[in-house]
Amino acid sequence: MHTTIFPIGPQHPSLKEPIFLKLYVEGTIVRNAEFNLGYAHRGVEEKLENKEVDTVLHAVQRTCGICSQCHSLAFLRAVEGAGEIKIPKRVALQRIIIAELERIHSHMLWTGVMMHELGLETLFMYFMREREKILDVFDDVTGNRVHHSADLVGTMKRDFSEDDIEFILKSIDSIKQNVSNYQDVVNTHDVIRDRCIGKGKITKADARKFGLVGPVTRASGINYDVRVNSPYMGYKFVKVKPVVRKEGDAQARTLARMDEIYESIRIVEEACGKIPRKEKVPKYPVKRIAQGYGIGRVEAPRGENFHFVKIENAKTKRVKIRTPTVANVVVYPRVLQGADITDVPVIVMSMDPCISCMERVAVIRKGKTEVWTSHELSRGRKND
Amino acid sequence: MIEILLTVAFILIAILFSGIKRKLIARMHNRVGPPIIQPFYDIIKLFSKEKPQYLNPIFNAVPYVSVICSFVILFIISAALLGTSFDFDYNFILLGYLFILLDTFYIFGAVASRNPFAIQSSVRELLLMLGYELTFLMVIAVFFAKTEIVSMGAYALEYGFIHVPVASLLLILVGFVIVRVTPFDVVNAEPEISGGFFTEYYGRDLALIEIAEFVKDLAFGLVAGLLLLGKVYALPFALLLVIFYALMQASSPRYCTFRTAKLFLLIAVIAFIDLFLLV
Repeated sequence: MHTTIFPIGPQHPSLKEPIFLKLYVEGTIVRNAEFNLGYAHRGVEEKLENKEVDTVLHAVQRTCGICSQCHSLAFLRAVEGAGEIKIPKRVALQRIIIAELERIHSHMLWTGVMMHELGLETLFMYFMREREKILDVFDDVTGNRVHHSADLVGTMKRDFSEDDIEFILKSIDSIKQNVSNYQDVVNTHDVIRDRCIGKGKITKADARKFGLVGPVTRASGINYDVRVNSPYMGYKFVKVKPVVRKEGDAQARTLARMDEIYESIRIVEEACGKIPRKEKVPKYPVKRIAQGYGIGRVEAPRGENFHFVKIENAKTKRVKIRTPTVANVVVYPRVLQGADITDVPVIVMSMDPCISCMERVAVIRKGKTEVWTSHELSRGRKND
Repeated sequence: MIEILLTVAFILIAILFSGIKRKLIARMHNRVGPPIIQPFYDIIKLFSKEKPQYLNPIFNAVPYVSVICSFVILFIISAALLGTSFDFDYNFILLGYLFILLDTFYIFGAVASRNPFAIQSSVRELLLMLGYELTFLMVIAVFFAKTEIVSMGAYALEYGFIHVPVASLLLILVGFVIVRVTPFDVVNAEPEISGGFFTEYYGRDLALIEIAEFVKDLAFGLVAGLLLLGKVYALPFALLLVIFYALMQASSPRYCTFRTAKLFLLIAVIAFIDLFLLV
């Protein structure tokens, strides 16, 4: 049969961010798929070089609009590791409360977008309505709705008051009931089940082979969660139960994320209860870290987020960021092979791609990619 | 003359109904939504855009032909509702064919545009046409076979849905595809195939196609109202259908293409059996 090229992206209604998926289609079946990135490259890592740590922290938190806190935590884990800085339990727990609230709003946003891909706009709007409650919490406890900027090295910008904690618990309580109703729809609606079950299946072996992370890999039966495997900050004081499913299809990924919302709500409730009431949050951040290097791994809503930080002369020499989407995007050609075009948006969205924060370097001149050495990259220009 | 006036009024009502549909869907979404007369603004804006420059004559002609086709459909319905001399024998058969023709024009336009999304959309439409267009023709035939009347103007069966319940149900089901609402709007599925047939159209051409689509939606509502309740209730029933389809659009996800095609083939078989038993 004749093969035609079916382009999805860089601008397409099913994509919220630019990525180019080139599908080789026979009839309506995808025979092969390629993807191309580089449409939203912002040069984040280059911007983070040779700056003071607190300035870099400010920029790192802006790497992603959805998981801002997770980038902050990964960077802080690396920096605080490099400087051997100890943080109080109160700070540790407050940090993970924000991270878990972020996971809740990220998963609600994602489920809403998934419903949009399936044609159920109403549920998308309802999820967005619930998500607003979380953003209101961020507004209340950090002063910012999207880029919270809640953390400083060794401390927090704002300490939670008792009213803040009460407001958090009240908000997540109201979310719990509504999300439960929406989850019933997702779980039981025949059309949603029909369009998700068996679509974009990733086996356990494939998940391991491609090095997938986050809910994508946990939906394929691999019990890997940084919060459990390498507990950090407040996760040392609370119990985390990863949501693992065996099916590995779009439905499993959907349900895994929805169950993670409940798990995050439980973690927030537990962490709020464990915050030491009498402990004081340090007033001032740790300013000077002379030198050293560290790595920070945290569990972002999409999976393992990795930061490498090298500090020299109290400035960042190098900051390397690997977002979870980088690990997950490589499996697209594999899962799209053999899929019907109808299922492509569902499969692509079930991986929960976050394109802008994964874009690093793509040098393409005259249609050919170029390889840059690390020295050239650090200078920001090619050797003559 | 009066048929033409009624047709013009129906065109304005069709655009207004589209605004009502959008408003209803927005309210279901918990949004304020656009004003009800927003489609008028949209069309005026699209007409103010510069004239598109296309090379393909078929692609150029489709918006004009389809809008004329939709006006003829409305004219036939207007004449039937008024019972004037333009209400000729077997006009319901012509009406069925005009509905098919309108979708066929869209397919021509889509294929002529060579856009992969538009071509994929036309493939889906061809798959579905086997089921839903046949069903539409057969369902209309069931109503007229029941009353043994040859023109729509002479159709006097009140509360037809009581006399032919199966055909009435099938007519409402077919409406999902004709009016293009979920779960059976696979032809216009935005996440997969972008704008579907109309991906390459813009400006005045898109405005004409939008008008043709609005008119087709109202025409279907009027035909359904005429057949199910009678002439007097045709327009109120059309409004009721707009509300019903808006609620369906807001509350159901989109079905798979092939399963939709299979379902409508099954519906066509049921319509055929219904017609066969009656004749």
